Amino acid sequence: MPSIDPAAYSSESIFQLELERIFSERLFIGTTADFPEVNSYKSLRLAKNAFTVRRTDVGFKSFNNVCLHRSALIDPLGSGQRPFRCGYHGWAYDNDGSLRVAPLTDEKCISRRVLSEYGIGQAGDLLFVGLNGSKPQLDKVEAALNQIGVPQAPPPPFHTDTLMQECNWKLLVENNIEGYHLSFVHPQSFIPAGFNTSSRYEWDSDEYTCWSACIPNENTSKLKYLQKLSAAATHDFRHAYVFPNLFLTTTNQFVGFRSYMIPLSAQRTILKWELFELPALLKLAPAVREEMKKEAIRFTATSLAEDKPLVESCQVGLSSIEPNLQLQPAEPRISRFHQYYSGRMQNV
Amino acid sequence: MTIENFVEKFAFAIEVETVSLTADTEFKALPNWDSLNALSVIAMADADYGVALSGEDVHSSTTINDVWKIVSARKQ
Repeated sequence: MPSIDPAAYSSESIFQLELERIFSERLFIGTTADFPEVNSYKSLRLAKNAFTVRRTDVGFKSFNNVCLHRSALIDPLGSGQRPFRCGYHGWAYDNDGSLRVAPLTDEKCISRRVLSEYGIGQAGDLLFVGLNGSKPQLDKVEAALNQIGVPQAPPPPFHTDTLMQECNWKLLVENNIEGYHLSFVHPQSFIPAGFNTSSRYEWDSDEYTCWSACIPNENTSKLKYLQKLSAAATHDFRHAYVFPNLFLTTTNQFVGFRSYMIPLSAQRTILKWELFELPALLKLAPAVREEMKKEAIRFTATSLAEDKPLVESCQVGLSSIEPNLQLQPAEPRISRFHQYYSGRMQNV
Repeated sequence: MTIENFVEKFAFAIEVETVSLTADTEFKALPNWDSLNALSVIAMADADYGVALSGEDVHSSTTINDVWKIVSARKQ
């Protein structure tokens, strides 16, 4: 089956093109729950882009985060709540990115007065930035979430975490959207939970989203146990991917998982992840809820730790003098992902 | 509220025959014991006894009688 060029996994020049052609169009950056009050912010870096997303009294806004004075970051990296004011010399900005106050300055020495503004889009509680200045296209996101049973406004996460991965972002995507590896890589997570390489796998896709359901076979099904806990329970692992950097899953209709990647270079990627309760879990007895949340944290951390050495070994192999890439029929969503990728990259 | 009755409910919770369990059964050594079984026992304690067990209560117990001691103590 056709695949993208192995060089695209290690080339810094291709990575720069990906930033321009892919990540500048639609970048997931967090949820509305990350911005509880006016002046809440999230300050991020994506390669050479330093930008901030802020909740203002006129809605969510995103700006270039480099002060017009001496280029300090206006909002420090990370998140919090503060006025939109540079900490270096107090230059402060309005909700439209225009310079409002510049203490003890001479107007004649200020030629540029407005920060670049980026597009912001919202689908349910999910926030995306268009670093190319346009509002990101999000019309297919809601349908993908519906396919896997994620509510429009789930409760705030009960656990958040970050994992540094020494690999290209595309390897994380590919690992996330196939179930072929489950029996070989996940002895402490997916296999005891009933999911393996032979599980039934259904999938579908749209213009820039794809989703799947992994359903255990009869001999590994735990449905009767799960439905003792709640009649709403299923025994499945549902997964949605929103190109290029957002993953969402639901497990047994109890626990939701949301994660997103921020690529740092061609061979280094940060994966941020969080877990939240789905409606069926919220209805369980408190003691059962608490234990299920603990088990979900253990399951997720374990499965990510199990994946990490494999995706990083693929990075080594793809960066070697003789890389190989031969997709199999059991990996149809990867082929779909490569179509999205090639379409945006114009077959670079 | 007897240990015999608790063993029955324990067996029902983890979907095994009652006759295969006793108060001295080391439940974590059962062939199909897993984290979902632990959740089922916690749910049973909540529904049938009104007692909140934690995962740690179950994990630190060896026999069904150990779990029963925790449940009966909290029930009083």
